[in-house]
Amino acid sequence: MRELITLQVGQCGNQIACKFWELALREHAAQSKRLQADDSLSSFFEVGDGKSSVTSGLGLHGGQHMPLKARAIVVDMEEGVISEMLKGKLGGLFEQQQMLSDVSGSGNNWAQGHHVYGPQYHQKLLQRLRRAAEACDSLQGFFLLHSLGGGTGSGLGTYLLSMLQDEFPGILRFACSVFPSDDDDVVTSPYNALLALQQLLEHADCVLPLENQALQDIATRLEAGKGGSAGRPFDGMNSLAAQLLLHLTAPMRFEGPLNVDLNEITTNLVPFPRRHFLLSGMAPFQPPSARPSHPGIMPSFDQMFGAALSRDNQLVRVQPKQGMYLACALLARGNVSVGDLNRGISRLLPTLQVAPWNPEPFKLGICATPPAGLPMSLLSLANNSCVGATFERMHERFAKLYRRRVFLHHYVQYMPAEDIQAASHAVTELIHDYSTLPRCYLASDLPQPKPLGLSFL
Amino acid sequence: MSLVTLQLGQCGNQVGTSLFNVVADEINRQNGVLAEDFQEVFFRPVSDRHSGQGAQQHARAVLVDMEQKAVAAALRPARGASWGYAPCSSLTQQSGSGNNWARGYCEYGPKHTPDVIDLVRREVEAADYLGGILTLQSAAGGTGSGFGAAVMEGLRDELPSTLFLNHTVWPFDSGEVIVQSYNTLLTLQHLTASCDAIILAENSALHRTCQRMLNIARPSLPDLNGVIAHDLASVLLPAKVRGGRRLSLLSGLLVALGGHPAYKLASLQSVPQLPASSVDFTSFAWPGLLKRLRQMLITGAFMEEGLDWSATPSPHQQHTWQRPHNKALSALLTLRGSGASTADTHSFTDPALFPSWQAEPLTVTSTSVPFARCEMSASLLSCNQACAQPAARMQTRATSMLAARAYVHQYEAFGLGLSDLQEAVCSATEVVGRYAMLG
Repeated sequence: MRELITLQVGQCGNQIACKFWELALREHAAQSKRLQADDSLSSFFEVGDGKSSVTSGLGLHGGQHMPLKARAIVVDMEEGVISEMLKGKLGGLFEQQQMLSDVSGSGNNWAQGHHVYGPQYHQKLLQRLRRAAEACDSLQGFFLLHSLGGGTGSGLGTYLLSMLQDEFPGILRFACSVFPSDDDDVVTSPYNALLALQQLLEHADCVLPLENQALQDIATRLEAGKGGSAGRPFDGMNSLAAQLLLHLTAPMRFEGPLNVDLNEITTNLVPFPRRHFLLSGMAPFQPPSARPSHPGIMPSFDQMFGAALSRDNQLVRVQPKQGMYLACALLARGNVSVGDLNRGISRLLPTLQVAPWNPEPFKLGICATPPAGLPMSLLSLANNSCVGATFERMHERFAKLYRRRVFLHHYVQYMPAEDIQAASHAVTELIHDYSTLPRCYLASDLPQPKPLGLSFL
Repeated sequence: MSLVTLQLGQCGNQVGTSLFNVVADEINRQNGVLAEDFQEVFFRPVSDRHSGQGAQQHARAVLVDMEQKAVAAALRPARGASWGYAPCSSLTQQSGSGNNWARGYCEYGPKHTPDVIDLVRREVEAADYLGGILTLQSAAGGTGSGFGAAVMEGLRDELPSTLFLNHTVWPFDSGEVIVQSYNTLLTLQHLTASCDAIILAENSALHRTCQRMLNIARPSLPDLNGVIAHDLASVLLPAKVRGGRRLSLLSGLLVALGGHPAYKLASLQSVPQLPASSVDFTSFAWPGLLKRLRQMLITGAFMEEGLDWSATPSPHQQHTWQRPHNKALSALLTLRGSGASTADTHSFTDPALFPSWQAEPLTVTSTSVPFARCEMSASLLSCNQACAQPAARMQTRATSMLAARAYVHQYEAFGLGLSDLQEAVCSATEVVGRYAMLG
């Protein structure tokens, strides 16, 4: 049994997590009809002896009522979101010992979350982490769900990451980070995002950036396709992030002809240690509502393949075809063969820019279990130099405020001013790393070793 | 005489299961004649107190993976199967090697090799007379390749006089794993030091064969494994050397391969390649089969269709107008089916096929027992120049990746430095160069 622990921090992180737990339960219910306590279920859930059952609340036709506990740490410095979650249908998944909340919030201030609440709650967080880790048989990784724009998710979330690095050094740390959009309503978000980004750079093994704007665009498109919107505005967006997590972990949780563990993702997709920001795209998207989708027109495999790598389906607003692919993982679910994937690759490869030292940068994974309500799906995770543009935009917004020292006093009261300068430097360096990539290893710069002998072939 | 199989990693375990299935099918089909002979090689009867439920015989195999799913799938008893794996013959861990050769070799190697050796020793002791150890693995992943290399070294120390035949699956060129060029070269470097012979099977060739010859439109990995299993069984099942004694397992096979310490890579080709459904409607004739097999050797092809018939061997390769052809150091030709003992194999003794210094390059074995429901079939295990071709391609890839210093930190994290990677590339260059010199 291989487990994953989810750390949901801040308002945004908790909202994504809510959707995630709902979809995870639905997926397991769809997979085994009767929700069974099997290995795949135990990677996200602890099957305990709790008092309430969540299966009935979700309208799942799971015969027996099984007391499930989410393997999660729930953190927010406000009470609102957490108490709402507890009152909701997923409330039974969590226990008081997994949660940590305060009343005053972090005031959209990264420094307050990181430098005040971090040390203040260090012991309590550690205690909760250890408790969750001890319940695991073989802990594989941590998933941090948070946003970078606010105070709690970005500040305390990144504090948690550095804690994990100290306390659980061998365990993978994945961060699912929502980047603020250009017109974010939090005025200090440029500072928060930049400071958090530096932490992600140093303490995460892999970061999956999500951009609000991109999520919103996709969600709107899906809603429009259905005709008429239903549900809450963020529901569709959060569900996208949740699907990403499910697809990413599917080849590890379920059986398939080509399994992919989480550590394989980091091995294959991170050629250079600092460039661990992965662009994610997927197709098709699960319908946002709980009712089963129409069996209508399903895209063919080739259409799905093209869509998963197209610009419109990326969860960050970038131009993947204009950047250079350093490495790319294609994780398929459902009835897909290696030949299908190879055919897709051979068709797509001529349209992509790839690193000259890695002419066929693909890692394949196939999981036999399709997502709930769909016959198949494909997730592409790419280490593409175009994410540098996202960081550049982020740094520009920061520089605009920082040049005039606007809002700086809020931060300086909790942290030394030099640290902000250092973070700015680190991010500039990262941008530089990405932008110089295409130039430093041009094919012509490298001595091309000639194949030896064997001329008959 | 028995053969102990060691299945390493996801790929190794899947191939192993296919192999035992093919062999068990053959045994059932023969129904008595040589069945006991065959059976003893691959299976051992289940001791009394366990009988009455499940399979009557256990495969002589050890299953190893650093992750559970593949082994769990192999251990799950198939309905109506005449064989099974012994329940306590497997070793699994939880977290996989993450496609990182260094993790398999440097982290899991020292930790778990003693346990694997124990499991292997148990199987070896259960055999009356050990013919050798067959190891199955892939070259690209982390467990089969990295941990496999460590296990092989451990076994070699533990059982110094035992023969090791390795079967390695070479990844698709388009890549299943991005770091495969490092992983494969490291694997090659270590296996050439610790095994007696390494049979390479390329996934891309297997895939093409499934598509074109076996009429499988969308071949899946189990289909590919089926081809490997078929080919392996066709040489491993007992047969007699022409006019002489039985070819003793592995030792005879390795002698036939030349046993040259510098030429350990071998390839396996077989004819006919037919979908099972058309076997009944095919007529067989030895001259046609052998002619195709010979041309496959000359062109280094894996598939019996689409051969380049213009390539002809000539002893004088220095003439530049002559197209050079694939030379073999040595070959083992196995014929199975009616008239196998008398079929004319004269065309394979052509001195132009082999280097001039090779004294006795060809061994022919035959048996009248048909294989895989084909009236006649032949397979060729040979050590030829084309074997080094995949390594040559991978070496080019690894060199440029290494020049960019890409992924090096992943290996350093487990204690394998840049110099180790460079060494692996150099050793591959050496192997490729040596095979080029055969011509």
